Amino acid sequence: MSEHAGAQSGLPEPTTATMKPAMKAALVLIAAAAIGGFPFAVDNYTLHLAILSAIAAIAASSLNLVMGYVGKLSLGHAAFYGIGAYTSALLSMSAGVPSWLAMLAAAPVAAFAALLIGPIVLWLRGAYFIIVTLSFSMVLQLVIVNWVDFTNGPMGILGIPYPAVGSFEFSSKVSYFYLVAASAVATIWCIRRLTQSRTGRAFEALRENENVAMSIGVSKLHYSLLAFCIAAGFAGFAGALYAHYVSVITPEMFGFDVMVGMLVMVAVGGKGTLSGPLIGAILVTFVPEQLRLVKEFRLSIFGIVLMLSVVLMPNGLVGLGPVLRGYWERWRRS
Amino acid sequence: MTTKADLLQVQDLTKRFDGVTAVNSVNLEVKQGEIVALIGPNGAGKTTLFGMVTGFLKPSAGKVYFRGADITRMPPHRRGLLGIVCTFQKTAIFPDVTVLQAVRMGQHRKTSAGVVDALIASARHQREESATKVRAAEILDFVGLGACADQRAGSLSYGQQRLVELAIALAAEPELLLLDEPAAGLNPTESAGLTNVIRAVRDRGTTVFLVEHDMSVIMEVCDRIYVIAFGEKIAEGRPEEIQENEAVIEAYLGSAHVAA
Amino acid sequence: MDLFGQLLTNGIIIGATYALIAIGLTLIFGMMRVINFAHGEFYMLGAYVAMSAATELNLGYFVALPVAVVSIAVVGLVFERVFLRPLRNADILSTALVTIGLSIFFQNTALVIWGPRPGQIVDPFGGTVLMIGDIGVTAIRLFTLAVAIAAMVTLGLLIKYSKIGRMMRATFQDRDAAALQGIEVNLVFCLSFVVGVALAALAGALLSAVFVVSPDMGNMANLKSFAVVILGGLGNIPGAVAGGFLLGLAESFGAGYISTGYKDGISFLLVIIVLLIRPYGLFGREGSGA
Repeated sequence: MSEHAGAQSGLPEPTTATMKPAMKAALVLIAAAAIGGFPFAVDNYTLHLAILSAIAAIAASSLNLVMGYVGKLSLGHAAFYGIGAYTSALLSMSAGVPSWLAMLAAAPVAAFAALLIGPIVLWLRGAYFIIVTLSFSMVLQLVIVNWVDFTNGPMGILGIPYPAVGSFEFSSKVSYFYLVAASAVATIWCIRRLTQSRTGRAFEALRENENVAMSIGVSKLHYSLLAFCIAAGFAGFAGALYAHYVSVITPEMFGFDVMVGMLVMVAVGGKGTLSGPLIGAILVTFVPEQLRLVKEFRLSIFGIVLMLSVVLMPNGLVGLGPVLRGYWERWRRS
Repeated sequence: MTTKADLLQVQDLTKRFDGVTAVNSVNLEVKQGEIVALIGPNGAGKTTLFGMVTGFLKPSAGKVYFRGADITRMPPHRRGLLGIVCTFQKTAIFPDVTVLQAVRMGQHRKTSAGVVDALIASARHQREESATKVRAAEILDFVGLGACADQRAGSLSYGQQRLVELAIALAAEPELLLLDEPAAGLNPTESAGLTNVIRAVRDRGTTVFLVEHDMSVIMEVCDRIYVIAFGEKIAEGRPEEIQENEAVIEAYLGSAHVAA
Repeated sequence: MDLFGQLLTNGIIIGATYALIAIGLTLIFGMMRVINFAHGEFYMLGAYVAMSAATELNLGYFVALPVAVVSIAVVGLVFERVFLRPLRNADILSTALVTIGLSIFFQNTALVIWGPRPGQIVDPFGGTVLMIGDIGVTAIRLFTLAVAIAAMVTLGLLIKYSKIGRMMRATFQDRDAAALQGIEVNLVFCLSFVVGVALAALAGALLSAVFVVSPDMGNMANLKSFAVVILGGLGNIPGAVAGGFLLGLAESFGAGYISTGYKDGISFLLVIIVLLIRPYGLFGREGSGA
């Protein structure tokens, strides 16, 4: 199912762009069948993890837009995820907004928050940007925790309803799986279209060399803000999907744990690619569960995995393919 | 007044840093269709002056005009959109993309598809996607890098990377091309190639203003030269005039500079 | 009781420890262009090792201090060699990710080893309070201040007058030029990192007798030291000292006169305000490296 970014930036990845339309159509059908049949082929727990993976994939892909394509390490991204979750939860519970509408509203609200904070942080270079975005989400968490009247503070919000369209409620795992799978596909599709376009090239120009990008007419503020807001919107939507699935949210969502999870997904999967965050999301959601026996070491292992992957796999798992291929070629030639 | 149109006009441009005056009230013009060079010994203030023309440095005093309009306080990307495109001295300009992709990026200002176009794959988007590829290939052939189109830009040789940089600038179809020491680090063959490209670029209608040390390139290709030393303009004129100008010769004596 | 004087004194003492931690962070960044996101964790580990050495190994506070500093320095050395040296020419995003990984690893491992319940070393001065006029200061805090200042002065002297200090200054100015002059740049980087984290560990060890020690104490230390480093300008050591004291005083007076609840938010607010007016920090310069 995952289509690769290859052709656009030229990083040596396989691509579907060169496939014949018939092949492409066949792939799409197979993928659709796989997704359609998936919930019935696995047990409940695996389905649960798959739902979480899909939500994580949306969030990680959105972070990848800022990290991999525009090239800025935003450590405040969890803030938008949390904003989306809280917006949807509060709208559907305190304001009586129908849950499907509340969920859709999460994205523009998060994007708006990005629009507000963006101009303050986006023109900060390198190190300053990283640190200030981190501080931003920490302070936001502090505010959410302390503003008990509005957000219920550290207790969080409970009893968030399932989304419902008309009389159909997405209350079963199967239906929710289709919902999040469709959302994830839509997200990745949007990001793909965006990155393989003039806008995407402007993003990449900023990542590669800000000065040259500006000299050819790419407005740093305009395009980095654009990426920032779009990414925030997707993250907010992911947050809303999460909120209505687990029905309980706390200020922890704004915390470093969630941020780190997203970071590891993008770094290990492969930043600057389309399939990287998806692969990363699946791995980071499923693998720690397999290591349930060493649950308390989960984060320690995360840390080591992150360190090792930065040093050994700078382009993530997706980038490993060409590297291994390179070794294979050289071994064959010797 | 001038007979040919002044594309770029710099008036009393000054830059002070921490009590040091790096550029002191310099005046110069570049007319449409000319190739003009700015030369001077190391530390003369060329880079600072250049920075004020490209928009990356704010002047302490003075003005910069483009086609008669005051662009003194205009940020670099707006100048880029006007058609004032510059190159930089550092290499590895777009290290992690292919050469073709890099040159496609350069076409930003001459294309217009936006976010919505991209999402719905509008006619404009599709047209520009293929047009940019074709044009990028053309430009690469023009500068002699056609064979490298699919290589990672960061993996090319130094001389090739400077050409990629030039190709990116050309892709923006500049009115005024600002080159910062384009021949730095190039061997004689590469310099000769560069000279040809600059001339061809001018013949296609682009005006060129360059900062340079390499006298062979300058003598070959420039219409006029400005000489700056210690932050001030000390001479201007045609290459032959400058070669014999006493003040210029004196400014260069004593510095390690040797006419290349 | 003289409130102003009391707040002033507290602010200075806290400020000194902020300065100590921040110097390390800014030294590492200035030299190596690495943002050490695990810096707060080195601080935390310094506190824990000191606590373990003092109580479980029964070495007592004063011996525990150097033990903590040296052991954390070794840990820093290993990390630098194994994970940072291969990334010598990588971009800031990569080194940031690797130190983030280290931070996660340290924090969780500390949690596993020492458990979540906060601990503390017993005050080696037995709670003695010294009176300076109307102001009361505990002996342990005064001791902390003295050691912190001594460390800062020693570092300053070392950088200014020793051979290794000259090497560091040359590398700081221009790493390539320094390499050409025959300076062993890898050694300088390694030393900078080790010294940087050792200072953080020292701060942690000193404060383990003043504050409670918990595995997540590194988080706040991280945020505060980042704020200080931004205030002072990335890579600017005197700026880090000034910024440290500035933050310490701002927090002390803020908590005293306004409110204690949002005290920790003061650092962030200060940073935003300062960056809006002076984008490279109070003392930073264009091109200083961000």
